[in-house]
Amino acid sequence: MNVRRWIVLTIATILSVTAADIAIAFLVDPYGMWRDPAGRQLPVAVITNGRKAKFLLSKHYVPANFDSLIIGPSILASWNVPSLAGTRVYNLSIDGGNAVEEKLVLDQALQRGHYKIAVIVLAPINTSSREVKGGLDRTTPAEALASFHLYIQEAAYALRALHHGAGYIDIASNGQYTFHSRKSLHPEDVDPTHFQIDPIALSKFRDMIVNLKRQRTSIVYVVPPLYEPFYQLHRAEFDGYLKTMLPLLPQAPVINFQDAEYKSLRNDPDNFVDCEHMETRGSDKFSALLRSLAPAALASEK
Amino acid sequence: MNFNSFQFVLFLPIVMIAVAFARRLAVPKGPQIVILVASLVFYAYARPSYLPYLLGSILVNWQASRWIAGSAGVRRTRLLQLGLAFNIGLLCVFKYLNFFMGSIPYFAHHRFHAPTLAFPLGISFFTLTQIMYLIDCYEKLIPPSSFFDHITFVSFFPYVISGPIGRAKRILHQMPALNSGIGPSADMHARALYLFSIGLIKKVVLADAFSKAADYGFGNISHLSAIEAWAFATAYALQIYFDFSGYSDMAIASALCFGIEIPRNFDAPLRAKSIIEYWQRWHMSLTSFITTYIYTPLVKSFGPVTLLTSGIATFLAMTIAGLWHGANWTFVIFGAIHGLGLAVNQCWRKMKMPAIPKPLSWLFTLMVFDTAFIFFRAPDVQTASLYLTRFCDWHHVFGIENLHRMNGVGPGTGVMFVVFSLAQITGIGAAFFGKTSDQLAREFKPTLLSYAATSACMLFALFYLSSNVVKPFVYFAF
Repeated sequence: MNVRRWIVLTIATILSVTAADIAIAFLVDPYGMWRDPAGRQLPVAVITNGRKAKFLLSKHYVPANFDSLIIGPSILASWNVPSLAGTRVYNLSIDGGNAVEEKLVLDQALQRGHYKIAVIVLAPINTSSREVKGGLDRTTPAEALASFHLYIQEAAYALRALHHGAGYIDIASNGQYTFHSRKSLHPEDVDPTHFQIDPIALSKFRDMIVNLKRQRTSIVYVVPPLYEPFYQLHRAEFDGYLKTMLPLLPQAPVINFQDAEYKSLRNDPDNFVDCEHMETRGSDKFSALLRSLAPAALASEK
Repeated sequence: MNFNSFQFVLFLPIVMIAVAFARRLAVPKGPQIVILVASLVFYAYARPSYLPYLLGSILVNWQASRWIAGSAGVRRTRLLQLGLAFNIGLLCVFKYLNFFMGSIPYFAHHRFHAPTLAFPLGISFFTLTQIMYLIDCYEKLIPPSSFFDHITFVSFFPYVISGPIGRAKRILHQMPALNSGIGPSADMHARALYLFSIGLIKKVVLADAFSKAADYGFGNISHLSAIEAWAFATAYALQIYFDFSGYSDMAIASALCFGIEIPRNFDAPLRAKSIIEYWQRWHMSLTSFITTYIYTPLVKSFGPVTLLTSGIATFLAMTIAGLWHGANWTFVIFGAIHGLGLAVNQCWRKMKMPAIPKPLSWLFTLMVFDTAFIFFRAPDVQTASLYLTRFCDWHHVFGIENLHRMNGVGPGTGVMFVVFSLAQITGIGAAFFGKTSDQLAREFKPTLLSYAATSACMLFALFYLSSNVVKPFVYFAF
């Protein structure tokens, strides 16, 4: 091969593979970025970066298809709440998320969307840190054209098409997340910094709620259920956190799943994967409770 | 503008086309005008407010070189001293003022508040380039150049921000070829593309994979076993090596696109079997500067050259070089460790001490630069000292739990765990056993294999870039 041909061939290969990559990204469009996402069902194979996936889905797909949101860390991610008071709900919970990260994702959803109800999880992890993990703050729309997490989604789409099945899904099309982690219900010590309130995280948390309220979104705070032996071990810290936080936040009804009436559900080890996250069975029970309690809570506020 | 960015991947071909167009139009010095404009755009891209500093420095140094050339005797020496004082003063004001002021309370009981000044991008590099230029003019090694040539030489975009540190006599004589009607050959372009793809993959994939490991190690210092402490320190050495050598490869390749050859900067330094050999292979343009412009004048100033004066000069020169890297005591200690290592190495050779078996001397060399790099990476001396205690924690030598976790599957990782692990294995192979990028570029042949490798490296690096996991270039901070 002569040098000129080598240069032409190399550049042509780079350009044509890039063009093919963009064409496939446009055709598959797993984040609903390039084609009209209204009416589409976009699940996510999350083995690479589910947080970036939710960030990108929030740009067009979530606003086009949903009018209520569940916002918080992974504690409520497994809760399957397709509808709430007649609205379609997207579960925007992100793995290991704090308020800074949750706001980053919510800001995308608010750019084009209008939401009637927002269920906001009150958990110490929201405000314990301001660290943005996994490059969430650097996520760009270009990642929906070329990125490793995009290729995973494309591969999952290909596998689903080949097997004619609904496998290779970790985040359902309504944002619900299925936990694959091993069951571990040993009540452990919690790092005291877990209950610290970072001022930046708190301010972002407040901003998030204020921005939603500005849209006339009805807010419901949810205190998530914890595995009872774990809760009893750290009751003072969890209750203290709630007591400190509530006066710092805009007023809204609170559904507290740590109340005594839910104790038996919290005591059932079959409901939990670990001390904070739920099995599908537990999630279904609490999701049903949330569906029945939220409309009443919102009505009481009005 | 960063070499490992989409902006640069677009910028470079645009400049190449513009240069080719200028060449075709046969405008006198047209290609050089295009290069100059491109260089100024490149420099100002990050922050236009830095441009006056670069231009001011260029103007003053160019005028100083004219005055030096037009004078003789003591006046000539005074003018050189004035020029050097200006350049060193510039570095001191922008880089070291706060460091020196911050250090004063250790000696006096007054606290000074120095103003926080913007740190112009690449000031360390373009200042050294011009110090060399002034001394070369003073020594009559080169005639003073025209302002147009000088500004093009100093601001040349492939090296203005982070080197390799260009020496005027090597670059300026290539300007006529740049302006000639015949552009670089197709072979040069092909080699440039090949080398650029190697540099890009080194920076984007390999350096970042080791950065992941090093960040983990430095974030968990108190939990590291001795073996992990050495492993993470080596990971940091590999990160810096791939980061800087990858950047240098891209710089050399970018210059080659215009037919300009700039000096290579790395030659597999992690395979060095002595500290002397290490510095002959690591940041070679800086080593050349230290030897010619710091060590030699220092050792001459001490009178007759003896083993002792040579050792002291080496130690001082390397300590100064350490400080050049950054305004922090950690960098001073980094330089001092290397200075001490070089002085001991020189003594060992001159006194004809028994030779150490090669594998052992390689390991010992690696240990010395791992130790020095701890100071390079640590934010302060206390953190570095804490890390050093892990090196010899005899109660916890063999634990490898943290090595298992370093690419951990946490929020935002997953498949990246596999990518990082594979990249780290590839990086270790390339750094310790593979051919250097310079060797690969020299041996380049337009074959199917080189075509596949170049395309694959470029595509993989571009997709990696698009994934937004790449970290900024480490030497930008200097």
